[in-house]
Amino acid sequence: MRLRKVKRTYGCEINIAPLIDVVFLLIIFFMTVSQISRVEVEDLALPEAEKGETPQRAPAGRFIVNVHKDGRIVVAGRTRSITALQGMLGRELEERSPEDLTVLLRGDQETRWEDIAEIMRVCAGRGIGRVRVAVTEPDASEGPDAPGPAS
Amino acid sequence: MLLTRQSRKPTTGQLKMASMIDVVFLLLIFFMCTSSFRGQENDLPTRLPQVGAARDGLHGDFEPIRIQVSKVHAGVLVTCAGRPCQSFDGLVEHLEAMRRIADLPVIIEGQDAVPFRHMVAALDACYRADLRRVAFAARGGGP
Repeated sequence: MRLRKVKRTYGCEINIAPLIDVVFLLIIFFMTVSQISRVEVEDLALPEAEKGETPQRAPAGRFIVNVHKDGRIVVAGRTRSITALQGMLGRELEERSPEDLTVLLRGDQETRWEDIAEIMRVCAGRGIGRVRVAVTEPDASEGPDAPGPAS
Repeated sequence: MLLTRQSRKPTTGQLKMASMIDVVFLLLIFFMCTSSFRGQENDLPTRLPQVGAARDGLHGDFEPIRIQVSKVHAGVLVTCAGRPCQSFDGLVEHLEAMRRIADLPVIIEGQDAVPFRHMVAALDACYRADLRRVAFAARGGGP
């Protein structure tokens, strides 16, 4: 009697095609999100404020100006001079009225006030009265930042 | 003659997916680790005095409160209506006392070398004291 060994293979098939689709979607998502977020907004250490208002949605007439601590002005991902900023604001005002334009000023904590004041002077000169200052919520673990002693 | 029917085996090609999945997951982990998410950003409204305007609606019938932020050796010095404040919390107390009179207009002036965060702290102090008519002075000054 010839005994034949029956070879049995146990296995289950996992359909991994949907898994790969999802993983590729996630990769594309992270790749595109990391690119889009760098365009208008610079990486700055914003000043802290308790009464900052949460923007409900990005208004259409918002013009973002980033100011680094060395006084460098960056708009739409490129460094601009104050003259170029004036020109850009002028072009914005050709499309909308000063009342409809909001300038969002994103300045670093250590930026000198004269650099910020110069930009505000440019905005005031163009008739733009609505300027918002970007802030972050204060860190709860840190104490209030006290100014120097009064003389 | 014995004819045996040969079993027909499917001739589909097999694709080894294991290596591709490893690479894909590595890429995913790479992008997850290198992407950073920013914290919530808020903003504070402020107004600018218009060039050439003698008196705008910001002031109304009241003389504005003037807050001056100056750079000193150890930090900054804050004065509110000529009175020095020990801290920004002290400034809030000053402003809250004035708020009891009316929603007075406020103008914040700063020296050129003052760090921006102190000017924002002065602005925030005004909002904490519920004074909403706040503007920065059009011209800076000092060292």
